[in-house]
Amino acid sequence: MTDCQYCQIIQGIVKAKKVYEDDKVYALLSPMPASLGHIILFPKEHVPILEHVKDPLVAYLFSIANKLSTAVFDSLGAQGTNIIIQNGISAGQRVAHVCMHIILRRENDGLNLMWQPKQLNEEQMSTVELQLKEATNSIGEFEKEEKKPIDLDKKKEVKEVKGDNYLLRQLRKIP
Amino acid sequence: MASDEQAALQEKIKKMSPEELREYQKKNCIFCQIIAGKVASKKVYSDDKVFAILDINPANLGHLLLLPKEHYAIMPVIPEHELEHMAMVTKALSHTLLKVFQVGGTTIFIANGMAAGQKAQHFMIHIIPRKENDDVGLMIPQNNISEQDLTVIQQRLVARINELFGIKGEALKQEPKEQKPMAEEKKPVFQNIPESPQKTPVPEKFITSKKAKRFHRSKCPFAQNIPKEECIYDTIEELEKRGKKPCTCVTGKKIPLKKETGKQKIVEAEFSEKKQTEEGINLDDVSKLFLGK
Repeated sequence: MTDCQYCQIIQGIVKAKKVYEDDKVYALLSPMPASLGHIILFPKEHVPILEHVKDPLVAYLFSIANKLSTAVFDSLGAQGTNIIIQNGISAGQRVAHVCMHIILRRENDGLNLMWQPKQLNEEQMSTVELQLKEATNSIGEFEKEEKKPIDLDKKKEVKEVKGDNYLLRQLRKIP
Repeated sequence: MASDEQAALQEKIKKMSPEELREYQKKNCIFCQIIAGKVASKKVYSDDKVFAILDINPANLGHLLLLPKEHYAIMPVIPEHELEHMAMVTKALSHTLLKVFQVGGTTIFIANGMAAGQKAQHFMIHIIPRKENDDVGLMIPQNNISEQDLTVIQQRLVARINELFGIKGEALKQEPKEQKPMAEEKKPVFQNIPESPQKTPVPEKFITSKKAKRFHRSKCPFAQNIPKEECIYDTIEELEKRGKKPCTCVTGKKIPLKKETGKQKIVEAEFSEKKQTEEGINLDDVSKLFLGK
């Protein structure tokens, strides 16, 4: 996707402060950070929202986010980290490409990422509970990583012994 | 009296073994009690590893909390396969919220540590359904930062990340400083980057034994000859208190040879005699024989 800012960063069209890269994900320092050490982590595959990302890739993203947050913790002297995924425009997603924000926190840093809790009555809560219970019954097995098909031709090539040893020939003759 | 009680509690906690600590945490953790069924809650989903409930003080209707059944305080402590399972369940729950409430989006929020807003000692993932222009907040602010600060942070982070992931890092290429005329001066918000926390240097320890005169590094062949039962492993100061001296492997200097004693002189003389017989017959001795003396 040529319009997507993050895809352009991966291709190298847009300059960015890269922090970590491998074949599935890409992590960079945010150019407009919320705090010192604000990392943006996203998958290389162009996916607009979290629901479209395949299960093994979601799992991989979270484990990389975990490791990155420990790295940031150690090297920049933080007292906490926030990991936020803004899924959808109403959640504040600005670019149509899934990304995770890893934000370093220190005491009294002035960042307010908390919400005002609302007081809902019992009826609303119990109706919601029932609705969600029904819906979550459909959460079944999760996708596993697809194993790449093994090339049988390649296997045969490996088996050919280079330089037939006369001793091996002897062994093969033995019934 | 509360401070006394607290002091007594802290002493108790220090003395407890890790298993006792875990049980203590479980007793005092309200979420562990909810998972065990001792406290009432609005359960929405559960399986063998995770547990999802409705938040009592929600940001929005349908605010879910996803907890691991085991008591983990923060994210780095969680084993990888459990974290991966939690990630997949998070995605599935977010999908169900979108379907049930017909909202435009969800926010997934994790707080690691008190400074990040973690209120309970049990790790949890918040899944909050969001509508446009709702009064939840949770907007990530954007601040300006100078290029130099960014590069400093990048270098530090890349070094640590390469260590953690085991990547042999390439030295970051320093981009040429481009001097562009800035229309508006961007005031950097972050003026002081805190220094990386200094690690306390661990004192090096060396090997010796009771009978030995010197102490060695572990790779020294003399150290490898000491049987394991007799090994003493200590820092330089303590070994010097015992009267041990350093080996050349520790100091890197050659020990000067001892002064020649009487024994060595005799040995040298013997050697010189032997050399003469090897080279050839000594004519003096032969002449004496013939002359009859």
